[in-house]
Amino acid sequence: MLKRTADFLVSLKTAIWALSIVIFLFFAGSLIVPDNMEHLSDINDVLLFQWLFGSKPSVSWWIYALLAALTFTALNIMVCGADSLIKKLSPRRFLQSISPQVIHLGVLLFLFAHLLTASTGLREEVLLKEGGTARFSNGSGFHVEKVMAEYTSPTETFWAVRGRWLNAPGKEEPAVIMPAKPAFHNGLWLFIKSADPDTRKVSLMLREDIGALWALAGVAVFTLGCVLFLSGRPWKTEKP
Amino acid sequence: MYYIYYLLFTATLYALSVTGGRAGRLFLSAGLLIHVSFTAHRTIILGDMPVTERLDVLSLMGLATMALYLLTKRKRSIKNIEYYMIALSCFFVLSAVFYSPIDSVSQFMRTPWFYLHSLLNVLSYAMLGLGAALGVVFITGGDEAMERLQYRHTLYGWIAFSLSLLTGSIWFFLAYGSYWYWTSKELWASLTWFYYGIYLHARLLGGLKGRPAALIGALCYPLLLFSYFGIGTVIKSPWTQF
Repeated sequence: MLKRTADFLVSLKTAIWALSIVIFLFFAGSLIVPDNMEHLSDINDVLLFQWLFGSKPSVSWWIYALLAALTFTALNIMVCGADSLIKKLSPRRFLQSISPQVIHLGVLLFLFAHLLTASTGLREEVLLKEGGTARFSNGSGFHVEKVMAEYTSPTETFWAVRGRWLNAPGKEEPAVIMPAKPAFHNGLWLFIKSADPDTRKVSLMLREDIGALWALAGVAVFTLGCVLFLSGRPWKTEKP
Repeated sequence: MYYIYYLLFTATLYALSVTGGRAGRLFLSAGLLIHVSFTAHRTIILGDMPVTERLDVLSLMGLATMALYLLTKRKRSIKNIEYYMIALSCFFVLSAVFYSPIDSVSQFMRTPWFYLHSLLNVLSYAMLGLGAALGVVFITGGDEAMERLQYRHTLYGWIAFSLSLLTGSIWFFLAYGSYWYWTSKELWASLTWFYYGIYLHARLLGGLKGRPAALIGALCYPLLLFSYFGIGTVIKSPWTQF
């Protein structure tokens, strides 16, 4: 029984079936999402698991199925990877045997990151005027000293916010926030969403996302794995 | 309207280069010159790399496809590959005609991560297009070396595509506070990535070779094209700009 289970988990056919199911569920989701925007409008604004527990089953069934399929795929990757390392790892073919597993590790880290992001974190939005102060639910705060918002052309705007993080008295930290250049402090990210040149009001978003750092680690490991894999020139060992 | 003339002229010259011989080489050189000068023109107008919206990205995809075809031609002679690669390049260039230029760049996109994401995306479309073309060459009577080349270029292209998705995630997090959004664009891009993954695993480990491998590998490309053209038109998505 145990051997049959192990053989099933290390089988390439199992992997291909699992990936095929994942593909089908992504396809189903790509059709369901645009036709159900009234039920899905806030899916990207709250934690996924929080959203799922309050969701309509006809709209979210594919996400539950996708979670299950990706969990099985992750298990399959781990078992296949371990099996491959045990059977194929050798000093002569070190690069060829280790590099695919480094790629798989990167994928696993990315899946793990998604799991963390779906289950933990913080997201709050606030609208502030120049001179305004925001206090967030985790006790942190941000004071806006200056809002820079101007039209650089009829179709382009320039936004920037200068302010300071409010920690303990005497430990305030200055920050400048621009689009795609958020402020980072103590695991918290502060993003600019928009700024109004006329009213000098700015919309900011606070994010705490532990998964983001794990995703970055996944990117680094995956990239390393790809470089190692290409260095091994896998096409050269093919028999014509 | 200047862009329409640039792009139509480029596509016409590329198409005429199929005639081959000295005339073909002249047409190709002229087409490349005009295409590169259009890219330079757009760079000057934007004051930035032309990688932020559809017209420019599609034009770059056409340029990258043509550049890759020329590099491949220098290394080896592949019968009939020019028809597929020139047709693909013309397809990208002519598709660009249907989009109006946006002569400004959002501050959210003025970041190295977005440039890297977009350039890797362009490169991956060209590489994977070459892979698909090699598969078609093999199926229509080429030798086995074509199928092996298809696998190799699809592998390169998939890695570039993967890195494009990953740098795109990094950019999206820095711009919008999240590295994943539940929209049709992300779902279809992921679906395409996994499909290529199946092909590569089956090819490398599963003994998939010959015509079945070439066919499965070539069929990945229409999925990729749909993720760019179909999402936002056939399947609704908020991400229609790029």
